[in-house]
Amino acid sequence: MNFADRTRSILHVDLDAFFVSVERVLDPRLNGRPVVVGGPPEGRGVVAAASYEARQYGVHSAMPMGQALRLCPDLVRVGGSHGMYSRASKAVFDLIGGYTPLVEKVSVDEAYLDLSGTHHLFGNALDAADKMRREVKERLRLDLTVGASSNRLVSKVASGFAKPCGLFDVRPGQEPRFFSPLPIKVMPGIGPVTAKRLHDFHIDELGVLASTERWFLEEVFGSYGPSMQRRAHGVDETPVCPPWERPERKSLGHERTFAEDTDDLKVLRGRLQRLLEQSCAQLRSEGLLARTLSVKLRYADFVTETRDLTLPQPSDHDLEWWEVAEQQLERMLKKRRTLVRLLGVRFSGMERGFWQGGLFEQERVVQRGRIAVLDKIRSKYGEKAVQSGDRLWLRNSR
Amino acid sequence: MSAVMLEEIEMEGQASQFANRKNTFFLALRGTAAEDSENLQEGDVFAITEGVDVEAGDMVVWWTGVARTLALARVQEDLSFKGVGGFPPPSDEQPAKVRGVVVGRLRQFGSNGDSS
Repeated sequence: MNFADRTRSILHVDLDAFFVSVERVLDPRLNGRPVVVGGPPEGRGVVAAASYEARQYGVHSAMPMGQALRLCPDLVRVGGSHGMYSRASKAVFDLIGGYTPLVEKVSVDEAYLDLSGTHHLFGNALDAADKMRREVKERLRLDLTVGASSNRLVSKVASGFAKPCGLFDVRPGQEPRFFSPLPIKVMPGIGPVTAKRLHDFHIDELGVLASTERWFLEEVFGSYGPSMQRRAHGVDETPVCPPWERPERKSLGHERTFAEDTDDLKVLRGRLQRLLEQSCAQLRSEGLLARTLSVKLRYADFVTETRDLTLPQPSDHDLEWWEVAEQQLERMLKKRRTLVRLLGVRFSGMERGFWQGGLFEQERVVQRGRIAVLDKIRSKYGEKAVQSGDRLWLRNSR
Repeated sequence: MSAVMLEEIEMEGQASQFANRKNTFFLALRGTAAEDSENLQEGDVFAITEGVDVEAGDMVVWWTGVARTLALARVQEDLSFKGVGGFPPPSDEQPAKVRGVVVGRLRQFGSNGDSS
């Protein structure tokens, strides 16, 4: 069975150990050493990225920093600079954008590219990927791993095979053969629970999943069964969506765990303000307005409480949200009187558009002007370049 | 310039998962390949599935009949085979006996960005 569309040429590109690689460009003394990027162990820091040398000791992303240091006593920890990573990421994706406008960035270090129809400009996908990889290496000194095939799913798995610093090209029409011997857990979308259920039925390879009776999969997994089976054949028609074609976001938000549980209102207010500023800046950059804000508190006993707030008019303005959010935070804290472990905000009820001031809203218009200037300063010099007074309380709370 | 040949190898890391069956394996290209549209490079690793079921456009490995040597060829529209990268095409004296189909190609690079 072969459903492959041989005319498509899709790449999955992944920057190898991205944060660590950027740190190594800035400080070549880190080359060849086990390096991690992340917060300090005394502040509940976790590993955000680990070099391949550190991974040999069993260190991996999301591991508590204290544990990482115990596994590898020679580990070099770097605090990290997300502003720098964003700039490096932008430089890479600007360069990649020279090969095709159809780039879907899925994270700071990962993207899908549709190179269909660019054969006459750059040669076949393998040649184009090779050129791109060399250009990124020569100009930015960063390593790119590339998976190439006729679709996103297969290219994503192929890039996993090429790590680190390689290129794996699945030949058109060979997607089912490529997938057939692979363990089911390599397929994106099959998590540990589904993998366990499949294993219970002796379905451990994608080839076995692909040849299992469809009615059986439907019976056990519902509508997900046939869809999973189709993907096990290496079929995926999902298009590469550049930003202007992306479906509307349903929600957006940020949350933060405190270094130490706290009930200090100044610290909590400062954090709330910072989270609102970050989230509203993201709303503005994506041209979105939100109608509803959810404030989330997780207490020291791990009980989580969420309260929704709605404004009469949708807004992307942190000061407009601040007043209601601050009142809500105080109400929640008075009600439970327990130390807080995590604070988060999430916007929903999204509408596309930009805020437009009314005729008699001169003060708000001026405020909007200030916010636009702040956005520009922060995009150029980093998020911490300009901070509100309340946020200064956070300095001592991390 | 050394003669081009294929050598069966074992892979490490995630790629090794492809060769977890008896009928799937890896071949590495040794020597300098002739330039053509396939742009083969020394060190390229081919993922192969054993089988003789081929279609036009496929790249295959076939037994040359000489000392268990394998060669690469591309299947033409008329299902004849054309040698690639300097591998000889099958002939009447050396008819193609297909061992498997090339599923994918892996090219890895050193830290200096060169192919390794």
